[in-house]
Amino acid sequence: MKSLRRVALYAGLTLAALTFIYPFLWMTSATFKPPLEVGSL
Amino acid sequence: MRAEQKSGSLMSAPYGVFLLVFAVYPIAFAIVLVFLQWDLVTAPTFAGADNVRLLLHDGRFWRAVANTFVFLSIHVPLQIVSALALALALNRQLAGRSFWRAAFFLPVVISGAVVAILWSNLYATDVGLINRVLMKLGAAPVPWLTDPATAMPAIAVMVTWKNVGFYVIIYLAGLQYIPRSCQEAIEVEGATAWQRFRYLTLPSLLPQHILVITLSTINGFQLFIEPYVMTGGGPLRRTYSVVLYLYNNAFSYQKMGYAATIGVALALIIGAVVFVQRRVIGRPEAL
Repeated sequence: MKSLRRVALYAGLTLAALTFIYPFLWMTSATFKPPLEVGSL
Repeated sequence: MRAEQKSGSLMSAPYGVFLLVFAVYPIAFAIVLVFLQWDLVTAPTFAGADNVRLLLHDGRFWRAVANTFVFLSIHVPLQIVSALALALALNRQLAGRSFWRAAFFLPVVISGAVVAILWSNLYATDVGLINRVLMKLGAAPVPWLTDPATAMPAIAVMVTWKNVGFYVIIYLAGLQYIPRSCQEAIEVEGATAWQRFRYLTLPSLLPQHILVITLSTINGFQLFIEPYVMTGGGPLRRTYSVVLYLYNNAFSYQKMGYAATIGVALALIIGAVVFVQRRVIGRPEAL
């Protein structure tokens, strides 16, 4: 039960951290793309 | 003693000069400008209470005030909940704790204009990342920044996202000040996780709640970069903030006297709101 809670904690934190880091990764990747491809995931 | 006083005065003099030049003088100048008409080019002329009268009957100003309150009503609660939740999670024994803290603090150190441009792209209706994810999930794209109903909430979410790392630090500091003995005592008493949070953690963080609410309210009232960069105050003036209106009056219409009047009014509104907040939240029984 305790390890399950830890897995949930790490999963939640990873998901939250992704929403904070992903825009910057996207911004960085966009600098290497032509304008039409900027919106791609 | 006199020598000590003299050296103390000498050492504090630079800050005194700084305060006079960068705080007292601008405030006094803004108050004087309230009674003047000045276009930055010709000499200022005395306007009496014209600027104040105009402000009281200016629908655009009150619309901007209402917009700012809409923004605050979304931003402040969202900021408290998200910062507290993240702080509670980060206060545990975690592998790579520094990485997690840095990840959430990252947007705080980025320029507001850069973040606003970035989020404009994320919110873009056709090519924005958020709508692309929504479309992949089978949902219809949302015109985040072009629909009057979603524009201000979208900006509020963005500002909350940008600042949450700063408020997480404040809550983390508070959480680490809760005595271990109190936590052990409440655990021995058999309290559930919710009871520990409700009756120990939440009341112990009262000074942090006051600080977070006060700072996020003051910052919220100063909303400018995000609507300026992302929407220009639109659609239908729904994201027109008080500071954006002030800026336009000062530097687009060259009405420095009226802009100063808006600034002084905003300072009074902020003071009144923060005063009421402190009276309501500052009571121990508030939590």
